[in-house]
Amino acid sequence: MQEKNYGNVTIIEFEQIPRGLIAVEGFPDIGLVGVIASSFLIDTFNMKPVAVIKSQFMPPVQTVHMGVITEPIKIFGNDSMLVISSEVPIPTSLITPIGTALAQWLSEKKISMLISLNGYPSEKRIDENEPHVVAVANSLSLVESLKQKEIEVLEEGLITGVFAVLMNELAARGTSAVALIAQAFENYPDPGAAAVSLKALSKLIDLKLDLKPLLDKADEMRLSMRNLVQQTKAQKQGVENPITTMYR
Amino acid sequence: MWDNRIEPLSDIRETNDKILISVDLPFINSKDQIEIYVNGDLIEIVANASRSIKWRKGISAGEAFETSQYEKRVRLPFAVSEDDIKATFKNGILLITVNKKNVKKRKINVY
Repeated sequence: MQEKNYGNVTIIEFEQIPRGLIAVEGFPDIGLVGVIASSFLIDTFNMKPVAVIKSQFMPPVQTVHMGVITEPIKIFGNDSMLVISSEVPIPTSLITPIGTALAQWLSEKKISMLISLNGYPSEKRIDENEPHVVAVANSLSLVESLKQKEIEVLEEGLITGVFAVLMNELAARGTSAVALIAQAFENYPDPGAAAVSLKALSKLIDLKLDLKPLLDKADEMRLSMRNLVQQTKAQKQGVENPITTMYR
Repeated sequence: MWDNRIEPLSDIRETNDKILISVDLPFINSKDQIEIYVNGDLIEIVANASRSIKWRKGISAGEAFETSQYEKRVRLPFAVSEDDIKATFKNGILLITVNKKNVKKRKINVY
C-alpha cells in the first residue's frame, strides 16, 4: 500500500498500476452520465479497486457494500484502463484540490490520455431518442484527432467541475485529455445519455462495447441512483451549469 | 412517499405564461399507465409500473416494501381546469404544461 499526499487530498494505492494506461473519469454531474458510464465500464471489464481518494474536508460519509464500508471515491483498473468514479458528489470546495491532485497523480502514472464522461443540461433532451454528444480537448492536436474520428467538437463555451480542473492541470503537465459531454436530463439519472457518451468513447479509443446490458438496466439505474442525483443537484446549486450560455 | 407508493423525482419550472412539471417515471413504458387528476389547485399523478419495485423508506435505511405504483401531488399557486393542462410522455419523462393565460390578474389598491 502506498499513500501519496497532495495538499488536502490523499491518494492511497493498494495495487501496482502499470504505466501508459487510458484513464476514464466519471464523477457525479448532470444526469449522472459519468457515474453510470464508469460503473458500466467497471462491471463490463471486471475492474478491481486499485486506489482511493481521501480528504479530511470530505463529508464524513462511507459507502456500504455487502455490509462493509468503503471509501466513496475510488479508482478501478485493469491492465489497459483506469476508471475514476465517486458514489458521492464532490463538494464545491474540493473540486479544485481533487482535480489538481488527481492530475498530478495521473501524470506520475504516465497515463496516455484522460477521457472525462459528462452531461450537459438540455430541455430538448426529452425529444431526443439519441442524445447529442460534443467533445472538448486540452490541445489543438487532439481537437484534430476528434474531428478525424467524426466526433463533434464544442468550438466555444464554458466547462465547470472536476473535469475542467483536470483537463487544465493535465495540459500544464503535457498529458492529453478529452471530455465527452452528452445532452442529458438535468434532474434525473440518464442512462441513455451515458450510453451515447460510451458510444463516443468507443469511437475515440477503438474500444468494443456492447451497450445493450446498460440499456436493459436503464430503468433500474434511474431508480437506484435517485438519491445521488438529488445530492448532486443540491451540491451544484449556486454553481453555473456547464456549457449552457455559450453552447451553439 | 404516500403509504406504499413511491414519490417519483420531479421538477417544477415557471415561465411567464406556463408552469412546467416534469416527472421521472422508470418502468413506465406507455402513457396508458399514467393517470392525472385535477382538483382546484391540486394536480395528482398516479402511475402503475410494469413490474413491482422493491423499495426502502428513508434515504439510506428503513422499512422495505414492494410496490408498483408512483404517486405525486403538486399544489399550484392557483386553481386550474383540465383545459389549462397538457401532458405528454416521452423517453420515460412525463411533462405537464399548465397554461397560465387564463389566470386573471387582480389589481391591489395601494393606500
